[in-house]
This record gives sequence, C-alpha cells and structure tokens, in this order.
Amino acid sequence: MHVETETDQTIVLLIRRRDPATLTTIYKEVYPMVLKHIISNSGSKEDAQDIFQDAFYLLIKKSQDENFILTSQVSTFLVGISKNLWLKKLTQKKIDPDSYISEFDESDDTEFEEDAKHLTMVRRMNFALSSLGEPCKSILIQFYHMRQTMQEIAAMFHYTNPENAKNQKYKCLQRLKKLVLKGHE
Amino acid sequence: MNSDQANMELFDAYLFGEMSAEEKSAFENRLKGDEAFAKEFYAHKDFLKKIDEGSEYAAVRSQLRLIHHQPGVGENSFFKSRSFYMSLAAVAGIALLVTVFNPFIKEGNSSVADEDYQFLKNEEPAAATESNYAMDSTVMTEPFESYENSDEGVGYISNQYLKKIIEPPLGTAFMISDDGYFLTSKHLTESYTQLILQNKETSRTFEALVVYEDSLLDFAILKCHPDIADDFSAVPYRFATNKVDLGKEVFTLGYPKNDIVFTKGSVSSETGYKSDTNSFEVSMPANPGNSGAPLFSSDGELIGIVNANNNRKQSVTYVINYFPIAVTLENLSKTDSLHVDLSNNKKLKNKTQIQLIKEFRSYIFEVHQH
Repeated sequence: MHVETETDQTIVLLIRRRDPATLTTIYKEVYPMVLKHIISNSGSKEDAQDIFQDAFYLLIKKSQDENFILTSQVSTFLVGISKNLWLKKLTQKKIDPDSYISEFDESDDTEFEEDAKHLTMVRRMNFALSSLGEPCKSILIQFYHMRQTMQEIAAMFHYTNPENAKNQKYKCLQRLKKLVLKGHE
Repeated sequence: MNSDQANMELFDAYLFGEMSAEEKSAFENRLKGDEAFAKEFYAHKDFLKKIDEGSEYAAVRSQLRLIHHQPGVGENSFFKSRSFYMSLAAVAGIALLVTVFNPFIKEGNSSVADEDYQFLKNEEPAAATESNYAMDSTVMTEPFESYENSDEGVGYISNQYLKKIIEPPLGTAFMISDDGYFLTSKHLTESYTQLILQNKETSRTFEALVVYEDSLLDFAILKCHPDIADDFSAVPYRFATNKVDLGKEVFTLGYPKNDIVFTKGSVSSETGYKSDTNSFEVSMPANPGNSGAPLFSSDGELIGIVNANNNRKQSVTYVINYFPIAVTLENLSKTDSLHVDLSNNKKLKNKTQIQLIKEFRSYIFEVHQH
C-alpha cells in the first residue's frame, strides 16, 4: 500500500482505527522527512522521534472527529504539524528562531495553538500517571480508560471486595490530582 | 468514607451508568439546584476526560514506539551500531567472578508485594564492583567495534559487557517465535529499555529491546534484531491451549546460576498467591534467577512463566499462567503492530523428557542488564 494512492476518507478511517499496517506505512514514509528537518534545525534524533510521534498522535486524535476532513496529503499534514511543534519547542528553549530556516506555517494559527495546549495537557497527564506507580496507575486506567467495572478491578488486583478497591481508587485519584497540579515533565 | 469520596462515588456511578432511573433523576435534580455540587461534578468530569485522553496518548505513543523499532522503519541505530554476537571462547578466557548477593530482594512496586511473596530475581551487580572496574582505564578505553564496521556483520562485545555477563544473570527469558520475540518477567525488565540475552551452549549473546511490559501478568516481551532471529529455527515447544491440571507433572529450565538448571515438580494448586487466578502454584524448588523461565508440562507444552516463591513455605513456586498471556499476545498482534507467530503444530509425542530438554535448551536465555 502506498499512502497517497488511498482515497482520503479510507485513510482517515484506517488511521482512526489505528490500523498497524497503515500506521507503519505512514511512519516509514514520513518520519525520514521530519528527521531530516529537525536534524538540520539543531535537533537530535530523539527530538525528531518525540516531535514526530506527538504529531502522529494529533493526527490520530483528529481522525476520531466525525467531521474531520483531510485537506492535504497525510505526509504534508504530518510534516506541517511536526515543523510547527519543533519551532515552538525551539522558541521555548530560546534558540534564536531567526536562525530557523523554515517559515512558520501560519495557515491555521489558532487551531495549532489549541493542539499544542492539548499536547501539553496529555503529556503532563501521561507523566503524572507514570509517576503514580502501581497499582494506582493501572487501577485508574482500567476504570476510567478501559472502562472495567470495580468488580473486575477488585478481582484483578486481589482486593477482597469492591469496596476496598473503591477506597483505593479514591486515594489514587487524589494523588493523581496533586501530581497533575504540580506537574512538569 | 468522607464527603468528598462519597460525592466522587456518586459522580462515577452517574457517569458510568450504575444508577437506577430514580437515582439518576434525583442526581440530575440536585445538579440543577445545588451550584457547589454541580461545580464539583463538572470539575470531576473534566478531570476524568483528561485521564482518558492521557491514557490514550500513552497507548498511541507506545504503539508508535513499537513501530519505530521495527526493522526498516525508524532509524534503527540501536541495532545497527550496537548489536553483537560473542563467541563462547571469549567468555571462557576470562576467570569467573564470584559475586555474593542477597538472594531475596524486596520488591516494593508490585500489586502483590507482600512479605512472603518473593520474586525470583537476582540482584544487579553492586555499584562497588563497577567502580573498581572503572579504575582500570585501559580496559575502559578499549574500542567498541560496532555491528556496522565489522566483517560479516558480526560485532564484538565490549569489555564492559563482558564484565556484566559473567555476573549472575538477573533471570531467564525464552524465545516464543522465530521472528525474534522473547518472553520474560516484567519485574526483571522494568528498569531497562535494553537487555543482554545469552545462551552459552549455543555461544550466543545479543541485545534485545524491551518492547512491551504488562504489570498485571508480570510479563515482558523482548525483541532482538531480525538478523539474529534468522539464525533460529522454529520454536520447538507447543503452547498450552487448556488450563492447567492439578497434579500435572511439570519442569522448568532456568538460570539460577551461570548455567542452565533443570528443576521439576507438579502443579499443587490451580490458583496462585492469595488465590490469584492468573497464576498457579507448583510444588517445586525455585531460586533467584528462575524468574522469567518457561514452565513446561512433562509432554513439552509451555504452560507458564516462573514468577516467585513463598519464603514462608517450602518449595512453593508461583507461576503465571500462559493462558491470559496468550490472550494479550493475540490482542497485541491485532492492534499493536506486534506480530508474534504462535503456530502450534510441533510434534512432540513420544519424546522423552531428556529429548525435550535437548531440543528446548537452546531457546532459553540468561537475562543480563545492559
């Protein structure tokens, strides 16, 4: 499969489903472009991987919106977001943005600002969840994300009854709130 | 239960559809009338959305990380620059260091971390021996020949690694598919992104990447470079398709020391520690280093991963059931770009235990820290 020969709507559906073959093909085609761009703009391989995967996450997230229409090729879209994310990071690091060779894509400034804000939030939440440790992290993810019932969770984590599991869940949630509040990555 | 917690339970019950129709309308009326209550509710709901999205982000990033490390996708620098083989001769030439270590290490971060439940992991080499080693600058500056630069794609292991692999292994790992996937215990891998696997019998030492960790079932998936995987023929053991039977004769091959050790026993309970249903109990001695080892039935089926023992009971070994792991592997193959071939057509009928061990042992590896 070649990414750009698929019709737009098919590809959006495959991305929404996080179809492994589709994601792999896109990754393989687009990542080298982002890598090249970031390496030639004072970034490292690790930066490229991080930025590209965040951009990819945004694409997947947008694809889940029923009204989302892909207005350009997937590669153009991903490279565009990656460039913007990298420019933002450079600015935050206070590396002179004038030395940056690419123009900032201003086509949809406010939408990008929202995306960037969303990314900051999910990264912070992800970091807080990881710092929470086990079993808290798994209890919260199983209940609030995987939508397991408290009975199932009590069985999974060897609680003698769902009440104990509920008490634990409450404590975990309080701890997570504190972590998110003081959260930095 | 304090009032904050009571409110939260109420919010969750409402949001996750656990209320009766009357409870629901009472709740909705209260939302309309009680401004402080409503404010608290919407703040809670908003926070839950963040947890949901943060978890989704974590799942997507972990899927992309797996894709990145597939051959020919990401930069693959890990495998190209640092993979290596090593001959047995190289190890044989070095005097074995004997390290004294505490066999029972407290593990604080597991959901089943009770005092009598002991993972069968060996301690990482002490920092003191590391620093002694670092004093020998000639050894430290020895050039590391990379995979890329060497002839025939065979790289050499650096002395730093040599030092590590003559330490007692952390535990055991075993191959599950000939495309280079291995299983081991998560409590062995959790502080590493890469590990070294070694099988002295076949003179193989190579790096493997930790590609998946499961806290609930305490297992991890490792992956080695495809070129290394190419050298293996199909995995000889069968994968269990039934639940374990009480009284079944079983055996394991693991690395409680620097050589492979055979231990046998029988299934003594169909549930594990505190009646955990994801694991079962085997009456069989097990030692630190046995963690991550495969447990086979006497007819050669893989039925579990050796996990822990009970330091208050004699010869009680806890084994994670292979069955829920197989389900996870299958789900991962569907959604997470992990293609593990678990074909189950091996003919093992009428083979003696000794024949089985001869076939199996080259697929079982020591796990060393990177």
